Amino acid sequence: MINYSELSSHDDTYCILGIIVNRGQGKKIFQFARRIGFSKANCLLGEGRSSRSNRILEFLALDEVDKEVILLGVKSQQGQEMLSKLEKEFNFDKPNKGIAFMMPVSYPGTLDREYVPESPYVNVMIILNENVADDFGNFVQEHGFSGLTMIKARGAASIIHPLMGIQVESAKVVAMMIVPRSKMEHLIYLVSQRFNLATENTGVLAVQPISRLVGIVQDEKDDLSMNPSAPEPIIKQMVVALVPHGSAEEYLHNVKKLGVSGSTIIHSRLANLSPNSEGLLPIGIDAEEDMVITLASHELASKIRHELSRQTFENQVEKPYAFSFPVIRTEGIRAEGFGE
Amino acid sequence: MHPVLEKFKEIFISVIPIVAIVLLLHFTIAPLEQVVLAKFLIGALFILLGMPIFLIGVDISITPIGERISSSLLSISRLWKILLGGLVIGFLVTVAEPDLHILGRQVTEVTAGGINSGLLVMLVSMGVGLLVAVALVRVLKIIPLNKLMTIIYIIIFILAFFSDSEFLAIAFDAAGSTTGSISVPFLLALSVGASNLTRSKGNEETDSFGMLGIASTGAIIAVLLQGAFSNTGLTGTLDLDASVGENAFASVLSQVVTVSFESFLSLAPVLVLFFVVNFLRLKESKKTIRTIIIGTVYTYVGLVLFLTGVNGGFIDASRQVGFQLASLEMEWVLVLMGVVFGIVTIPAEPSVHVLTNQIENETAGAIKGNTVLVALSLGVGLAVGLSMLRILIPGLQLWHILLPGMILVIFLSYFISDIFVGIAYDSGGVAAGTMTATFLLPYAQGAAEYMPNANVVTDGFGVIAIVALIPLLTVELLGFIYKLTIRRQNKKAAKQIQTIGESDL
Repeated sequence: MINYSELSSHDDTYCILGIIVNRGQGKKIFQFARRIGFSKANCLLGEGRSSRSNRILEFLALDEVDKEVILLGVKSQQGQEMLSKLEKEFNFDKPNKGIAFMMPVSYPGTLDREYVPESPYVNVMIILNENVADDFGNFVQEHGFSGLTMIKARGAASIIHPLMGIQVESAKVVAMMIVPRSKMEHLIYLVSQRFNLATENTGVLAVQPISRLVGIVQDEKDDLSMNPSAPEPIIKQMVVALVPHGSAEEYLHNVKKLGVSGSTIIHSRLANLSPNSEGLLPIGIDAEEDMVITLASHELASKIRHELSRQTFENQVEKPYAFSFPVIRTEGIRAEGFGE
Repeated sequence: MHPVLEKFKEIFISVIPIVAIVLLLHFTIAPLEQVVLAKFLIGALFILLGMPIFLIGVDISITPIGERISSSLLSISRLWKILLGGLVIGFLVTVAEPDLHILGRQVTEVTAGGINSGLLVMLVSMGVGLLVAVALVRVLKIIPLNKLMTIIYIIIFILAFFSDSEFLAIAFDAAGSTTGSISVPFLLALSVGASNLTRSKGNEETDSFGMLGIASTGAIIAVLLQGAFSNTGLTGTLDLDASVGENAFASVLSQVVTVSFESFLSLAPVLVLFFVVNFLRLKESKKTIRTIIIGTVYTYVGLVLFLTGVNGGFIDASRQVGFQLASLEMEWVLVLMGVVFGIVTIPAEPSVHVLTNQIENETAGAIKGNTVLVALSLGVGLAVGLSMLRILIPGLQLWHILLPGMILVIFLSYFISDIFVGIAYDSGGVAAGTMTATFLLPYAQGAAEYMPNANVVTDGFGVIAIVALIPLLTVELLGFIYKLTIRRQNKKAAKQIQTIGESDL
């Protein structure tokens, strides 16, 4: 990820380089990242539906594919170069090889209240209860959307288990779909209707811009126009905090007083790309992390980041920090009440 | 490459070493009969086809079924209902396990009727059911696994004290036979599903593992109790059926009927449970049900192919290899090859792949499946080596290995992270699986057949016991290394963070 020392520079724009490949291919991506100088990468495990809705595979029930989502923090300039290299090296232009994209971040960086579209694509992120995950996957496939990745998560807004007598976290799923802007409203409408996002506390939807993308299957019917002279207002921030695994609750407890509620926690790992020269095993041991996602207003996002910078956690392998994604659209009643 | 093809490639790489080694031995020091070699190669082909199909099927049917059933079960708000549910599930899954029925028949034979096989099967199934219920309560009450297993092992020690030492071997063998190709992924998924529903502050995915280990002890306790009350000894002999046939292909295929029936029996309870729970509570969509049914078909076809291959092709070959190597009268060769076989057999065990896959899923890939696989393989290699030593050295008895082993297991469990305790106990259940029964055990039996001082029965039964125990130790050792390495990494990181902090001033 971004080295701590780089965070102090406010002149550059930063982005998160995201790479989604089939499970098992991550090793090659790590080798690539190591070659260009990265020592660590964040990695999540997810499940996807084949990006080419292949009827035969669907019929054979082989359309669900395990995925790896790799995230690297880079300066935007660096990100452009890396994306081109990735596309060439891993043949992302061919179907089912994977995708790579750049998502601009508001912090660290200078993105404030407006975003000028740089690509015709957006990332639609939907957080739902785990028991509707399958339904959701089937639903988006039926409506012709492809390239869905679903990641298991936990909801921090906890419930008291009837028998354990303690607060347990609800099982959630974070669904990610990269779609053209032209399809965004249609998708939001369908999902909101089907899962009653506006009227019931069933989930939250947030859309982040994508600045560059390689590997997506282009449908000829897609309208890929965009208007660079029409900047979009950034209505919220999606704060993503990276803390050691098991410390999410401690972090949330500390930021609760700021008014934070309803965060989602994803179990991730900080992949150690450099070989472990000191340990007893010939392989690097990856540190487990919790990625805590909170939807917040600009002011609240700033307060959260400041609060986190003052915290230290047991077993941390790097200073915990949070970065923010600009959010240009939300849906769901829980998305509304996050401080203004 | 599509993930399905990747799976075939992965299994090919896993199974080829065994084939290569047997071929190497055949062309050098342990030549096999032509028919036996042909059966072995045909069997290998069946495994190469069947195992990937089985694993793909398990991933889309058995695992989702197990997770859904346990989350349904654990959302009931009455403890006694959950316990009853656990008991029923554990019982059904075990009573349908074909290996257990085979063991039952073998036990009746070797005790000359002293132990009734039907009663054994019932008692073992009830034992497993009871311990599955205990495992679910453990998740709800957040009881640490190392403490629970300490208590259970103490109970086993006490019971073992009152039993014939050979019964200990049968008891562990029963534990090995209850964790079959269907019950392993099902119970693993049950465990993961239970853990997901009860995740809370300070209690992360540490409860995802351990159920297999706990459930296996139910079988051990049941057999020891039966042995203690029956007062019989091992007096009979075991007829190792030597299959003779000129046509290798027909000989392998002749297993298909039995295997098809047994596989159906072991799958049936899982499917019945799913449809009952779906009707009562889940109400899954048509597409999900369709996916699960198709997955079950893959599981069934893959399992039939796999079991036909191992039963039809591997048992005779490995028995002959064992006999041939023993006849060389070079003891170190027998032990060394035992170690090698132990190491290369484990990657060909389907249950191991299911476990390592779950480990990666539950730790976001931080604990790599291959790392655990290496620890498991080394453990089984060591176990088979020890088993061969036991056959060669008349004075070395089973309890000489089991007792210190079990004490060491409990001791180490207090020095590693909770998740590794669970993984270690589950590894024991997984290691003593189909490949152990159809390749490693016959190897030991073949060697014992040649030796005048060795008893095929008692020495044979002990192999599974040792294979179920030693990998536990090697995986715990891996956990210990992990803990030390992470501690070192954290110290280094803390220093770096401090340095950066200081340089900011």
